[in-house]
Amino acid sequence: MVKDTGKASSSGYIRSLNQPIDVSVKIDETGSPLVIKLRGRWLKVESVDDRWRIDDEWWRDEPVSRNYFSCVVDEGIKVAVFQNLGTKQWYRQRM
Amino acid sequence: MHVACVLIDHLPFKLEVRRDPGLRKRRAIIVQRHGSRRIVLDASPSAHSVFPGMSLQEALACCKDAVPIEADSASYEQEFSTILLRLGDRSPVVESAGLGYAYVGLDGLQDTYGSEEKLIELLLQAVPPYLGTQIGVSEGKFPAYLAALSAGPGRAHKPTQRLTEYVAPWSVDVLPIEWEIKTRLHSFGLNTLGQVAERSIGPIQAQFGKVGARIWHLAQGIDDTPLIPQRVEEEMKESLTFAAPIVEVTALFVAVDNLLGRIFARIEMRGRYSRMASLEATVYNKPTWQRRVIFKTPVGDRSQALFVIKASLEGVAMPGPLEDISLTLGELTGESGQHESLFRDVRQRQRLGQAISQLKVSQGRNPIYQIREVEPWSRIPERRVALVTYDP
Repeated sequence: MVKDTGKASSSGYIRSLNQPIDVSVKIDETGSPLVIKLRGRWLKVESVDDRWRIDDEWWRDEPVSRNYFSCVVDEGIKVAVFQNLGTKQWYRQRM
Repeated sequence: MHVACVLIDHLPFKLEVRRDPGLRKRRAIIVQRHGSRRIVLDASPSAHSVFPGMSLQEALACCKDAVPIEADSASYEQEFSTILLRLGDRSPVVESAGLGYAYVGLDGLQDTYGSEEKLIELLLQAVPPYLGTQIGVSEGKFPAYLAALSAGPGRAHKPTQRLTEYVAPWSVDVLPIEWEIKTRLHSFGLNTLGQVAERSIGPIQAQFGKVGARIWHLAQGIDDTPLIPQRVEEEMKESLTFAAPIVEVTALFVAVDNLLGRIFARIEMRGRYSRMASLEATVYNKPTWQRRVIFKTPVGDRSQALFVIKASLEGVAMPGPLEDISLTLGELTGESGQHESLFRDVRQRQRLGQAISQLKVSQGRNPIYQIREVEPWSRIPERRVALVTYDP
């Protein structure tokens, strides 16, 4: 049982920031991004600077399991994208 | 109370003559703007029928050949305040009674100067000779004023007879009262101060009230109103002359910035604050341009002062080509610092809280948010910070 904290219920508003944004990505045979569609334009990935995996909240119905890629696209713009390993969907997120 | 009245009759006209000696041969009316009206400030002594306070139309109707001249009040005031400062070097009690009139307290100064004559001579020397000052010495301000009126230019006069006898022949027109009351005195057949003094105080007071009592006392040669010494305020002034007259406000700002830099670099301005700035400029072929800027919060540095001055001059049309500019910082604080509120943070929160409550009422919800760290250590980026409603 959760104890009553005694606090009055608040009409306050909480919204988490930096939510992942859907993005289209084409990948190579190793699973690394080749091109990313940003603002309607396909941009070629010039290099992948870093990659890492997150596995967390395994106790939830939808555990967090992501493969992150820190990429440099045209004109040296850095973009971080990840693939949700559960849904295989790609997202963009600020680091 | 031993008083000297220093009277410079027609001061504005005399200053204009110094500027343009050709005016000596002509009759001139010096007019000042009051909104849309143009009022006479002074006139040539030969324009007998023109009085200060008349409208220009009335004055020109009385004196058709007179030349109207726009008053340069700033320069008249400047000249007169220099004279007051010089008088202040001679006596610690100097009261300015208006442009061209001052009262100087003489009590207790005889031992310092040796004799009253020497002191009066020094007072005469305090005023440039071309202004032809008249000095009157007596007991009380009003008799001293009458004595000054009797003295010739550059001379002093001290009545020798009893004051009641001395003031008796003077017209009631010399009384420092409203013109309407003077007219009423004449209508009662009271044309001289002697005629007023002959009556008992009761009827005069019954007719004119409180002013009546004052009139009666003055008619007896009694004036016990105290001398109110003018406050000597510390000011910091700097000025510069332009190589060529400037017409752009941006050039003016550069000059003001330069003058502020000079003032704040002075050792006596270290850690001090000013509440007022005054700008004065000579305008080509026009009266002196003057602008006063009040600082809501005292300013203690150049950039702060420049910011406020710039803001107050924004949209102000230049009066014409400026030949020079002087900047005075006044109302200087005596302390070397500025009081900060101990509870500044609390007050700011209270004010913010009030503003947010008003927004809640007007919009039905709190529209102010803040970014708060929720789980800054989280590996999942969207868990680290959140947007929450702000309630101080």
